[in-house]
Amino acid sequence: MKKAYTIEIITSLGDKVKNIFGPLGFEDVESRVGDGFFGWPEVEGGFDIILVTAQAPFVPPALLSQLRKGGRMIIPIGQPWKPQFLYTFTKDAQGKVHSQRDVSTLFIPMTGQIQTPPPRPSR
Amino acid sequence: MISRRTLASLFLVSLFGLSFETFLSRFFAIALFSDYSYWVISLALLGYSFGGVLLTLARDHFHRNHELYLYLIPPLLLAAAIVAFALLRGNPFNPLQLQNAVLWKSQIGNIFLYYAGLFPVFFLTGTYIGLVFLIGSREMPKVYAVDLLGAACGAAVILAAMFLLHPYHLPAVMLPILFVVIALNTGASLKSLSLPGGIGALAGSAALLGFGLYLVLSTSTFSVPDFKKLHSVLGIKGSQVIDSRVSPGGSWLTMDDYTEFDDVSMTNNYGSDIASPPRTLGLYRDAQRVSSLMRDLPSDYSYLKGSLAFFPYTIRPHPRVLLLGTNGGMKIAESARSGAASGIALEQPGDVYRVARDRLLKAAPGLQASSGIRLRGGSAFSILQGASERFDLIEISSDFLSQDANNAWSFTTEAVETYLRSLSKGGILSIPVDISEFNVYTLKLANTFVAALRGQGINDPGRHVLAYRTAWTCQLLVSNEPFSASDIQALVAWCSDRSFDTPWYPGIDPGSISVWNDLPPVSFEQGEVQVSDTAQDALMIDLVKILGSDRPLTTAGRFFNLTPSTMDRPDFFSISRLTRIRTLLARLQVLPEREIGYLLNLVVLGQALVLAALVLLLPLGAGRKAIRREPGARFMLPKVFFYFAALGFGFFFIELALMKKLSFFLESSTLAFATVLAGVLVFSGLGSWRAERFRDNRGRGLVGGLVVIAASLIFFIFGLDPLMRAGIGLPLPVRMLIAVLLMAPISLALGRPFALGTSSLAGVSDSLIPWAWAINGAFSVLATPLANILSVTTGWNIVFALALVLYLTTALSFPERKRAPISSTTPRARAESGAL
Repeated sequence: MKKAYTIEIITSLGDKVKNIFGPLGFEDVESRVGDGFFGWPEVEGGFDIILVTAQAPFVPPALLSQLRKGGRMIIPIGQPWKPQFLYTFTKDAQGKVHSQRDVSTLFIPMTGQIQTPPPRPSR
Repeated sequence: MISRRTLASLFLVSLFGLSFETFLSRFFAIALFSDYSYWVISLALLGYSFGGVLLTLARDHFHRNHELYLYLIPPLLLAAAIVAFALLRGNPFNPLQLQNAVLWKSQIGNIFLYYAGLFPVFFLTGTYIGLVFLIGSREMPKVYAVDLLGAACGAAVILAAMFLLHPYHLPAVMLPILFVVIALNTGASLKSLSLPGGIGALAGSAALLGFGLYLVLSTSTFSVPDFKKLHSVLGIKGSQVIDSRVSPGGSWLTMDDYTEFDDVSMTNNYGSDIASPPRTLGLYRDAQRVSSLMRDLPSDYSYLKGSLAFFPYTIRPHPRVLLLGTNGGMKIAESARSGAASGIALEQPGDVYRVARDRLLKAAPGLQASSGIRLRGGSAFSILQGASERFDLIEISSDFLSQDANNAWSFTTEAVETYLRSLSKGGILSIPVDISEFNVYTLKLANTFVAALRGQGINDPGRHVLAYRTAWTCQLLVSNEPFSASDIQALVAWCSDRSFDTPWYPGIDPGSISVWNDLPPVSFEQGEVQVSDTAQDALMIDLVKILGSDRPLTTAGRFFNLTPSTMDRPDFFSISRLTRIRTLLARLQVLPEREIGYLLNLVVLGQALVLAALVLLLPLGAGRKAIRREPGARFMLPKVFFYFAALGFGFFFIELALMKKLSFFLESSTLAFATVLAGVLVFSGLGSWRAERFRDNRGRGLVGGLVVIAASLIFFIFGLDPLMRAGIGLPLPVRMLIAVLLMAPISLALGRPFALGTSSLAGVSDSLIPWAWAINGAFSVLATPLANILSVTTGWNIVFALALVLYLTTALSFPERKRAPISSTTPRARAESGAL
């Protein structure tokens, strides 16, 4: 692993996580408090692997766009009333995305921007 | 002569019995899955039969002390009903754990708790009714008529209450009815009997009633078990109840929580030009999710370009649309934005229509006018049958099939034929099917398309079908004209841009297809997934077999029964083959939830068989002495058994088949249930009352009734479906009148056989009257799961046909016996002098 980035949405948890990696010898891990829905767009060139550990009703578009060609994203997808499955999304050399369904899972729902309603349209 | 007070009490106890049974089905729909409710209720219903058995075993004792028991049972019943409610409320039963190979044992005690709570209620009710039958055997037609009319009123009272009260609070209507019975009997006892109780007993009963009402009304309507979908949504931070309403069709909640999104199946190739799907609200019925609801008009419709349902609008631009289901109004907005010129949107059932209509008025009041797409309630049949109007696109929403059992009619072969006839030339029917768990329902629908296209005289159905999919949803398109080469080219290019797969199009070469979304073949039988180094498309393998063949395929070799649904066999789900029960049980944990209900019929059937055997054998064993004392009784045993067992089966077969068939005609399962239940009970009650005319020639009365029953059933088998399809466009009040007219003759006749059979036992084999009541009850419990299984495997017309055979056999087993001359001073002679 060349470099890892991790995002926590809960401030108190994120603050503690910051101090975990160094003492354990993981110098190449960068963490911050933020909304994983938007990924980490400041990282140029995107990511080879994206792991999401909260259930999303659909794939956050920003995460797919930050996935490198040839990269993989693993994410639990489902809505509260439907079964939830772990999916692996792979971006091919042309930038198109392939999917593979894996085991059924039960993650807690993703929070943050995903829970913010869009602005009301003018009528 | 039986007193008016006793008849009035019988009327009220029957009213209570049926309303309590109906309440249980509503209670369990929320507290359990509705599929499980009949399992529990059916066993409790056998309490009726065991009441009859007790009376058979100790007939003399009960006959001698009937005043005491008629006085004692109602307060006991009130107490039992309150205890039953407390046990229902507090029972931690979890059906999902019952389906788990490790955890199921922990639930056995909870099931017993249900039985223990409910059995006494039905046992006491059954004993009370059976006791009145015993003492009123000389006037059986009148007594039975009062019983049936009481039950009919029970149906009416509880259904009316369902418009006002949450299902948890319905006992507040039923418990006072028992108090009236107690008051009636206590009043009489104060005048003429020296029974203990009197005013003190009445005050005690009033206190009991008060406690019961407090217990019932203090129950929170938001108390939802943790295995129901609503439970997790109520627990999401910030979730809000936007709207709540109750009706006989369910307890409805509109929820606003941040996990609800428009359930469109989207491309994974998001670009900056495609937005996320919009937020929606969620509609829940009985704590299970039913549909999305529009929250606001979407501010950005760019997601439509990446959604699966958009493709038909690209090859048939500006269509006139018929939308079946609107995902709570969202489909109207999306269809209009996709280019629809105008159209009609239908929601069914009525409750969903009203919620969607009200929601649209709040969220997008001008949408219907600006889009030219009008929202209406009702089924597609009522719009399309016999109409000349044509649509370019008929689109069924993703929520439509699962939002009501009655919507399954829209997925039958006859329905697809109707859609094909109602499409303009080259028009398209578009249906999404969820493949996130199982893909076999897609195959069943493909088989339905093939059957419907062949029914329209099309010999190459594969040329009329397109299928494309994401990892979650398969969209099936069918047209009344073959899809053109340009349509197919457009589909392939459109799907390739979006990483959608194309498991079927005419001319497909499976070997050349590269799969975007891996869907490996799964063997349910072996419990194995066929893993491969390259992505696979299990749907493509099966659809090529179904649609690429120029001959109709048999589905007999498949593990699941994928035969197309029909008007006579309308269930879309219930595809499990009972012949594969061992494998199904071994894989119970991965079997879709919607298949469990069908399998539960076997459990109900098994337990009802055991208990029916007990009902049959107990009186023959322990009750030998009582039966021996009546010389006529011994010889009558086989006839009584076959006669009343046939009536139990036959009556319920007819009632259940009518409920299901008329749910199509009346476009509502709830309305059909209420109309048939009330109609059959009222008319058969009147038929029983009128059976007194045949006191001198019961055989003639029976045969006359059987002729009407046979003629009606033959008409139902051959004429009911065509009549309903021809008349479904009529206004609802007219259809209800037709339904009542269809039911009236057969129901009047159905009231005769039980009354004539029991009255023929009066004075000859009195001890067999409660047994006849017990047998009738036990076999009616058996009839329900059996009819459900038969309807799925062979169709409802076979259920009608079996009822016909069963009723005809009653002519051979009618329990009438010539009586020996007897002294007019014996009790039997006294009974005879007033008997029919």
